[in-house]
Amino acid sequence: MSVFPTIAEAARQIAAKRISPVELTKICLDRIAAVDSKLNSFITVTSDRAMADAKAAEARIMAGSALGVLDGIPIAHKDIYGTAGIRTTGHSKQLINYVPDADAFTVTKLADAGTVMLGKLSTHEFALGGPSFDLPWPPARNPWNTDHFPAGSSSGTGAAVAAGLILGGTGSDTGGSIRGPAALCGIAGIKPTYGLCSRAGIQPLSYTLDHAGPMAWTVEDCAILLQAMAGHDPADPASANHAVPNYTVDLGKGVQGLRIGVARHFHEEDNKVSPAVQAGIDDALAVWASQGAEIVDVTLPSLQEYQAVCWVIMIVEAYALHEKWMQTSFNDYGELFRDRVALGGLIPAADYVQAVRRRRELLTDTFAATKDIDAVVTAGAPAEAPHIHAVPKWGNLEKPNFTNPFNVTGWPAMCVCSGFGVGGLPVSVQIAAKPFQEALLFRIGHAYEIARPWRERRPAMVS
Amino acid sequence: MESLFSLSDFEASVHKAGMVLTQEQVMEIYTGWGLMEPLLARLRGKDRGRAAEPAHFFNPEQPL
Repeated sequence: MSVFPTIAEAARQIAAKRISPVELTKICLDRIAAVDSKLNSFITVTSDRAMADAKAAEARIMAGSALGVLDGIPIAHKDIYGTAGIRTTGHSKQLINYVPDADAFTVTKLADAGTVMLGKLSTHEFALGGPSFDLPWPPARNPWNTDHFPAGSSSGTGAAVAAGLILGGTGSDTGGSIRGPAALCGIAGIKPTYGLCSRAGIQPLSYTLDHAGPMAWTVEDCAILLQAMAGHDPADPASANHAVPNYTVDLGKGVQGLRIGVARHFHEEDNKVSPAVQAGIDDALAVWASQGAEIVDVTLPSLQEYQAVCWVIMIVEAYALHEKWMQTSFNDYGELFRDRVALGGLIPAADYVQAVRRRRELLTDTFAATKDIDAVVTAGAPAEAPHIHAVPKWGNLEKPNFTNPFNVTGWPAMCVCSGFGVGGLPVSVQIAAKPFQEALLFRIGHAYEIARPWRERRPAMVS
Repeated sequence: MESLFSLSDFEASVHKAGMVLTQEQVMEIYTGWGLMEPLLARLRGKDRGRAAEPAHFFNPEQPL
């Protein structure tokens, strides 16, 4: 087995009894102990729980009653996912002692699949305010260079997966919080279709934009994790009662015959990307074309149109749910969260409704522009990760990001590593598809991933 | 970006929202408001029909 097994590889090794869940869990815990003081990817390490989970998995496997490919696989959860009996802070002083009495629906589903829970991962405060240095815990750092930003808000998951501390983990994505860290940490992360994964038991940020989803080293591992996370939950009003297909059965089917649209204006005009990001996109398109896909340009509404809708809805909804604390304990939030969300308390109600009306128009326009294509490709992030102290408070208002369009539309979208920039940090390509076409996204992402050597490189701090 | 909202009107809006902020905090958020205004203008400037519905719905047959 490799030093950094993927979930798929570890599952094969466990099934063949060449490694046990207990051994694998100890490797992860040892690695956390060795390097996480530099990464800050964990808020809480649940060593005892992890060992108990691992021993239970091992007993099932030895008895011939394994639960499936995730049985005995060590993962961790973003610290906005509720975990029964385990502190769930939202990386905020406001919830510093909050211990839920129930698991989030997706936490239960992953536990029922046999995963081993290593702990709770850093996030931007309540999935929005970061990177912050004025919270009870420091912000996570990028394992490719710890002076740099891992993006957010699922920053701990991105950092921990890239450094091999966990084999996979959970994230949430309201404006790009799965795909941003996946892009800057050089891993794979998918924001599924709105409603595919229940949000029940997860600290909300914006009710109509929040998505839950998995992050892992490879596309295949994301598919395995999503298989366990997806499914209808009556406790989430937005949960889709939609059959969950097998996400891995067609993974190797390739892209022959697919029509892949390139939203070139997103990354060449609306927010021009770095040469390394552009080269990564061009490389991915060349790979898919060589494998039989047809590459065509597609024109969508501008990134700025999606940005306006996303940010107005996000901060108004966030303010509504944080209003009491914003009025009574403003200074118990970090500066970045409270200043950003304060804007939501000042936006007139009519503007919020206009944003929601515009959202429907954008959804209509996005469908119309993509009616004869299977997927849309653009950047995941504009460049390599910036220095962690060079992230502006208002950066997301100054320039539109590439992820907002698929929160506004609710379409599934995934970031996959597409190489490395001049600073040695990863760059990424983003692939989006129509609702509930996650299996297609995995096919496209996997086809690129196995054609290139990017999965063979890990951050120097753990290599 | 300079805001179209005067600082005094902005302070009144913060007060009306019930947030108790220092002057320094007000000034920080006022900077962000100047960047938010173009986004709001983009949403307001559409000539949409009066019946153009928001992307909100609910099912009256379901309690949730």
